[in-house]
Formats: sequence, structure tokens, C-alpha cells
Amino acid sequence: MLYLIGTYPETILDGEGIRYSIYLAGCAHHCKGCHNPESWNPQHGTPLTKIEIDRIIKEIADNPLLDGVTFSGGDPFFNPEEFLPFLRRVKEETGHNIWCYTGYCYEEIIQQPKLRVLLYYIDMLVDGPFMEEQFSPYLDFYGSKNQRILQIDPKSGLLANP
Amino acid sequence: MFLDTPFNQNDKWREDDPERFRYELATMGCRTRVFENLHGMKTSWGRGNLSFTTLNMPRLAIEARIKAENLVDDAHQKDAIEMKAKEFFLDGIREMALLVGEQLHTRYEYQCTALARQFPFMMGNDVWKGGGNLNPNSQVGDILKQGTLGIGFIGGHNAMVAIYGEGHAKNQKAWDTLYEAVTVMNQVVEEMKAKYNLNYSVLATPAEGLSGRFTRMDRRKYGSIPGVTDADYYVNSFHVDVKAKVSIAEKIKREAPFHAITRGGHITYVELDGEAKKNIKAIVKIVKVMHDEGVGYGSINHPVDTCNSCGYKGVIYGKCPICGGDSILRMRRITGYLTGDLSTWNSAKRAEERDRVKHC
Repeated sequence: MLYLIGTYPETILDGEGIRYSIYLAGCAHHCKGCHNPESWNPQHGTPLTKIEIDRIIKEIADNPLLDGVTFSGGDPFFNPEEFLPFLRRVKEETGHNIWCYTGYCYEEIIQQPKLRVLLYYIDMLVDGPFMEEQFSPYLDFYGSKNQRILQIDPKSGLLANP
Repeated sequence: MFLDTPFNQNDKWREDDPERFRYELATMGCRTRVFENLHGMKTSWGRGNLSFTTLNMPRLAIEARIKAENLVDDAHQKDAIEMKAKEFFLDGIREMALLVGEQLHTRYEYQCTALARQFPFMMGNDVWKGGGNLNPNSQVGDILKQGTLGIGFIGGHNAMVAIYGEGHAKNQKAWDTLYEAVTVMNQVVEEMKAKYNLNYSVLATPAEGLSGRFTRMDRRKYGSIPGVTDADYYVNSFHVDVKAKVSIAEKIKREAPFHAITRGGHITYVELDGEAKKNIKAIVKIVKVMHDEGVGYGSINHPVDTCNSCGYKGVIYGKCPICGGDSILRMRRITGYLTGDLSTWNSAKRAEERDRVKHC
């Protein structure tokens, strides 16, 4: 079962525009300098029940101001089997563009079918682990210089501009 | 400032007029609006607000509710009590607004007896239109006719909780009643204008000291009433409860219609959770919603922290990310002030900042 750390109904920190952010528990990367080490625990927060998912989707659909939805955590890619149906529901039922943060690199993701399939429902992937020595406060929407914001072509599930 | 909102326009404004500023609205002070004029040009230029007096909406609502409860015997008749309370409340608003109107007039007459030389800068430099022509020893008199007299109000939200048990963010009856109350104030303004031929207006008061003072007085008198007198401050004018979990769009939609009926000044703000300069798209979108909903004067508040050691500006969690310094100036905006630090605000305003929902 996925665990939800929390949602931010209107944030300007997790991608372009005003976004609805969903923070999922569980992360395997354990980066040094992580802001929320408690989010590594896959059972941090509250169980993401069907009722909760319905509530989230309704809240997104009810807000005409939103530019999109962002998944963060933890690492949403921590539990891809259970993340996939949730991600697919949000994408298909809200029609919003999706940003997703992950500690995996794009190159690793496309090697692993379970992770790769997620890219069909993601428009922007913010990839790579947080590296404390490459941290800069001047970056927009990510923390360390090794990380990237990659545009994904949802049709192919691959980089839009390789 | 939305210069193109219908009520902020002047027909004489022309794009190619080098002096078009004369027909453009400018806020005076943190939100005081001076524009319409019974004695000359519709402009902010060469004019100002003379005085404003704020009426205590929560007190009028508490009194109205008590009166209604005494009248309707059966405490279960919720609707009947609310209806009566609303009636008494609107009567109270009218009566108090009339009293304030008279008080402002009395004060105006006193202000007119001041001598021009008491304002060497304002009159000497013709800052008040016509003041430059005055003999230093003559009374300022009619020069002040250009000024405005504001009938203000505070605690619309708290007043609605006193009557309906809920604020106007969620409860439509409460919203309608508050709108009606401000409409009644506008009727009084029209009557006062006709009576004294002076520029009266309704002001959404930018209460500072008053936000705590009225609340303390009413708590002493009526005790601690949940949602009404139990906080350290009354919510500003027609603003929805700062603690209400409403979306940005919802907050703007609830507050915007009040702008057109508070011509003495107003503001609607939203609070953001991060660095606005990194997300221009979000800012543009919010400005557009404010514009489309008819906001006259809007604000987008976002945190800006500055490291006192190295000067880095951004949102700083704990220590400075650049130099590790721990002396951080935490700038937030409340009642128009940007220059200060949270530590210099009065206790009521600090309590309000603590409670404000970040729209995130």
C-alpha cells in the first residue's frame, strides 16, 4: 500500500505555475543532506486509500487555477507497481500535465521496465539523487546541479528532445 | 493597482496625453483610495484623505445576535434568530455609520480652522491643490473640500461568525449579509455627501493597532466567543478568515465584489509559499484572476529572507545556504509594510501572520 506524506493544494515551489503536489512515502536513495529523512520510511504518513485518492482527484478537478500536478516524496518511483495505477488515474482523470521527482536517473529508469512504464504518464521528470556538494540555492525547482528537468514525450515514454 | 478596473478609470485618460497621470489612480498610504470628487477633477493628484473612522462590525453583530436571541424564545429556531439578528445588525450598521458621518463632519469643521502656516510643506508647495495661494495666516478652509472622509469597518468575518456561526468564506447567507451591510454603508455615504457636500467614502480599513484593541475591548465586555473574540485580532475589513482553507481563486472571488463598494480603499492579497521570482507563470496567473474578478488593488505576498552576513536573498530555512550565517532578516508583508522584520510588528499583527494560511 502506498503511504501519503501530504498534499499541497496550491504550491509555487514544485514546478512551473501553480501546482497541486502529492508527497508519497518511501525512498531508497538516502541522500546525504536530505531535507526529510523521515520520508524514506515507506509507511510514513497515512495509507493512501481509495477514498483519499478520490478526494485528491476531486480537489484537483475543482480548482480551475491549477497549471498541473506534481509527485514528490520520498521518491514516487520507490514502489512503481503501486504508483502506476495511482499516477494513471490522476493523469487520465484530471488531464493535467504531470511533473514527477525521482532519485533515479533517466538512464537507469529506461533500463528497468517497471520504472520505464511510469514515463508514459509523466510530462516533466526531475531526475537524479540530491548531492550535497553540488547544492545551489539559485536553481529553479531542484536542489543540486547534477539533477535535471527532462521533458518526456508521453507517447513514446522517452525524452521529448533527445 | 488595477488601473483598468471599471471603477478605477477616468474617461479623460488618453494614452498619448503626457499628463495622463492626472487621471490615473494612485493609492495614498497603504491603501487609501482618493479618486471621485464632488469639487473638481476625478483624480488622486493634489488631494488626500482627511480622516477616517472605523466602525466595529463584530460588536454590532454580537449586540444584534443577543437582541435576536432575547426576542425569539425558542433557541431551536435557528433561522428565525439569524433573520432577526441580520435585521438588527443592518440597523446597527446604518445608525453607527450615520454617527461616524456626523463625527467626521465635526472633525472636518475643526480641521478647516487650521492656519495655512501650520502646514508649511503641504500648503507652501501646493501639495493640497490651491494651498499655495493661501495667505499663511488664513484658515485652510475650503481647500480641504478636495479631501476625503472615510467611514471604515473592521471584522466582517468575525461579525458574520457572531450571527451565523460561520464566516463569509463558506456560508453564502453570511456573504450576502456582509455585502448588504457594506451596501448600507454606501447609502449612508450618499446621504452624507448630499447633506454636507463633502467627499465621503466607504473604507475597508487597514487596521493596525485597532485590530487588537477592539478585540480586547469586546472580549472584556462579552467574554471569549469562539471565532468572534477568541483570537488576538479581528480579521481585516471584508477579508475572509486568514485561517480559512480556501483556494487562491476562491479567496479572490469572495473578496473582489467588495472592491467596487469600498471606494475609500481596499486590498485583496494572497499568500504564496515560496520564491515568486522563480515562478513568474504563477504570478501572472494570479494577477489575471484578480483582474478578471474586478479587484481594484491586489497584493501577492511571498516570503523573502535576507542573510545579514552575506546579503543572500531567498527563502532561508534555518541557516544561510551560502555562508552558513544565522542572522536572517525575515521579511513578510502585512498591512502594507515591507520594510520591517517580523520582530518589529505589534502583537496582534504577529498573531495574524502566524495564523494566515499559505495558499499552497
